[in-house]
Amino acid sequence: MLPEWVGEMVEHEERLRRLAMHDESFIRSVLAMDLEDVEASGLDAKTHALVRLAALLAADASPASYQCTVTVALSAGATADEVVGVLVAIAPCIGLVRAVAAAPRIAIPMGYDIDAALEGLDGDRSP
Amino acid sequence: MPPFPILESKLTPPLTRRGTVPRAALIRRLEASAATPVVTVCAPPGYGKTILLTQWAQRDPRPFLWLSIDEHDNDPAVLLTYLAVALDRRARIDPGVVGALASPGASLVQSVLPRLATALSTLADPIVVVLDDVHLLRSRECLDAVATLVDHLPEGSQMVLTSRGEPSLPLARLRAEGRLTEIGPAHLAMGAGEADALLRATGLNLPAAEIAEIAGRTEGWPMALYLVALSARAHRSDGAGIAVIGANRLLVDYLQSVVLSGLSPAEVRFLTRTAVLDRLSGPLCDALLRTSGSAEVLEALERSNLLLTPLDRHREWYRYHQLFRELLRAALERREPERVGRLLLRAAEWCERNDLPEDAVEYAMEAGDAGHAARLVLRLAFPVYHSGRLATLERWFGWFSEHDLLERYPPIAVLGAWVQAFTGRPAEVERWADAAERGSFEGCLPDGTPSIDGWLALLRAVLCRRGVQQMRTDARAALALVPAASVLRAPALMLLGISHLLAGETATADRVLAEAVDAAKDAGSPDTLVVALAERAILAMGLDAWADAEALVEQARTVLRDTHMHDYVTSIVLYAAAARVALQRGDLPAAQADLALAQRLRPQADYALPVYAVQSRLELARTYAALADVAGARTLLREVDDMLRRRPGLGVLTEQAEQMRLRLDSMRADVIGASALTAAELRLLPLLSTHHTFREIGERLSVSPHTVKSHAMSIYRKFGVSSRSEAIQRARHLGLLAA
Repeated sequence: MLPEWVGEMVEHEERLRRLAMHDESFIRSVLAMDLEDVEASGLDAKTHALVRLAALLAADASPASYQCTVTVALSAGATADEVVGVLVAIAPCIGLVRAVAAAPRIAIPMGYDIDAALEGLDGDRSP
Repeated sequence: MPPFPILESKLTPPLTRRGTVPRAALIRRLEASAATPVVTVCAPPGYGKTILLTQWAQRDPRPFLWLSIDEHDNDPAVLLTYLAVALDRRARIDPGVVGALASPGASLVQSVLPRLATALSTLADPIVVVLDDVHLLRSRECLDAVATLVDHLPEGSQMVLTSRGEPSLPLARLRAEGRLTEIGPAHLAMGAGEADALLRATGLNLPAAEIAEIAGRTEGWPMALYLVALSARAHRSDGAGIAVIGANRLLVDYLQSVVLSGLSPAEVRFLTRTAVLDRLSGPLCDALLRTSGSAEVLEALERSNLLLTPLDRHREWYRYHQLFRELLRAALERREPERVGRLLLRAAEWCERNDLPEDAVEYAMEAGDAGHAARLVLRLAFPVYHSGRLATLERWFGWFSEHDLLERYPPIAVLGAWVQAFTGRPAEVERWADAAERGSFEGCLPDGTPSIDGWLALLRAVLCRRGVQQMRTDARAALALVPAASVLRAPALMLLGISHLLAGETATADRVLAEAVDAAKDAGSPDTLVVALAERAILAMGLDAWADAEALVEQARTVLRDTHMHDYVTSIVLYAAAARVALQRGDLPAAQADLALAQRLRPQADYALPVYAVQSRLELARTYAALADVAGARTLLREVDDMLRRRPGLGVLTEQAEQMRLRLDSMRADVIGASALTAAELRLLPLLSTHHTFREIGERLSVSPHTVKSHAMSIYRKFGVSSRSEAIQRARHLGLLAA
């Protein structure tokens, strides 16, 4: 069930917003980019998502993009350890600077607020 | 029926007194403000803010709803109850509102406030709501509640806030929109004509030039003018030659010493010593001063000046004007500092003997008498908890924590840990529980348990920090020590039953849980009753006895509805069970409604209560899996894994989690929708529906604004929307936010 605005004139603000948010249904319908090519890749859903994540990190993507992909990976059965494992695995490739910057942003969709954790006294439990 | 005694004086506008000067120009200004919904009257004490409003109330045809704010109103349950009672007296509001307020379940903001706001906005006739001394409100939740009510004022109604400084409310927005009228010290200062009237009303007759001089020197500050008049009267002079020095602080000190020096030593003793009291009555003052005849003294004082106000028409209780009280208290600290503690303790003792235990707590704490305070708090803990005033209880417990007294009073530590577990603060729970274990306590506890070990065992059982076996041992120990008549017997039975459930001993579990159900009914413990019934329903479902499960769920739901426990954290177990039962029946809308109610409680159901938290999530995951909502199920399972890491040894729950994981691995995640909201995102939702910016939300949730933005975007993606308003709409439609 696609939203009603598909096929109509969508005002430019809404388009920009949805793009900035990495809204998958918008990308699929209006940009006509098929994200559902898991079968074509021959990979299982989880690996597909983790590999995508690695590519986004390497491409210096916006946090909205890779946060969305982290959520997809988790929903496909990836564990938090595996997601972090991706970052660890590619850090030598993408460079330390990118890896350090990505770490707190990857943490957020996994429910871990590093900033709050660094600040709070009761350490490791984030809201 | 309000759940705790209402102080009528808080809801009664102060009585009009002779000798107050009519503030005609200010009244006209107020009358002209009718188009602005909010009026603020901000000035330091002694500027006549309250007197002004009383005069306005007399002239204005609209009814005035008055609430005098004090420290206790920082508990949202207290503030909202007083507002509900005040509104109810004006126009009958939904009786469910007060009922919901009386429940120990947390979320007043989600359930009660919207209904109160609706009641306000649907009033037939315009009213004026006065909140006097709003600067005493420090609780964010309470201030947010006031801001919400402002937004719901109907046409023609106004909210008037008096405060010593600018109130911590979003006034900038109102100012920018032209919806705010502000009255400040410059407006309230008295001109020469008003000063003249004030001085004459006290019997002082001075030539115009001198009055102008005094008005100038005091800068029109009404309190200063009044004290000048009093001191002149006391010195039996005509005011000539009173050297009035400059501004505020110096003036006050000078006048203080002048006023007091004109009184007899007995009068000075009376005034300064009774200044420790928040409210004064004849008998209380007698007890405080070890004397008699205080009632007459108070009456005479009230007649002769404006600094003592009666709180009711019978003139049983009085209060000093705040500024005067501060002056007197300072004088007491200077003259007789060694006496202060003793006076406060006498006040505490009298209040305790005269059925004012909550006042006694405050005096005992101010006196620093921890033992006395502990005894009182223990006595009050259960009733105050059941009246829904969690914040009050937390403030009292907090006092012990701040003064490092938790180890010295283990029963307080136990109760505090219990409350924190049920309000979702796991890190705090550990600290308090450890302190309780380290301390020692001799003697009987308020529920009749003969030794602290009984309470400690029960706490250990519910926290389940060391696995199923230990939980069973602790539950058994608690049962052995807790007397049959205690209100804690039912939870002890229930925890024992649950320990059997976790060990896979279903028949025994059901038997013990049935006993717990009976005990809970006898003791009138709805919280335990609802969970015990829900647990039995879960057992029945495990045996495919769906008809039994449905009957148990319905029973529990009736109790929950009757006792307004919708927002109580352990109700999540019931909603999870109910959703499964509904789905089994094929009733999809009912299942989704229950799923949404469970989701609302998810952020609070943290690993502090590991069994309920894990069990409810597993049951919810089962329902989502049955609905082919893999993303939703996996989100829950991830939280389960996190919790099992912190609380391993939860028996069958660990195996069930593993089975659920295998089941989900064989399924394909399809849509990532609202069911996949993380706990952090769920916690954000209610705040998204307010006017707060992301930064302000971050402050309230203790996270960075960046995090708030990321969570918000994730919520929008999962809802398939691209704006905050759409997200709120969607959340309401899904039942994740109260409509």
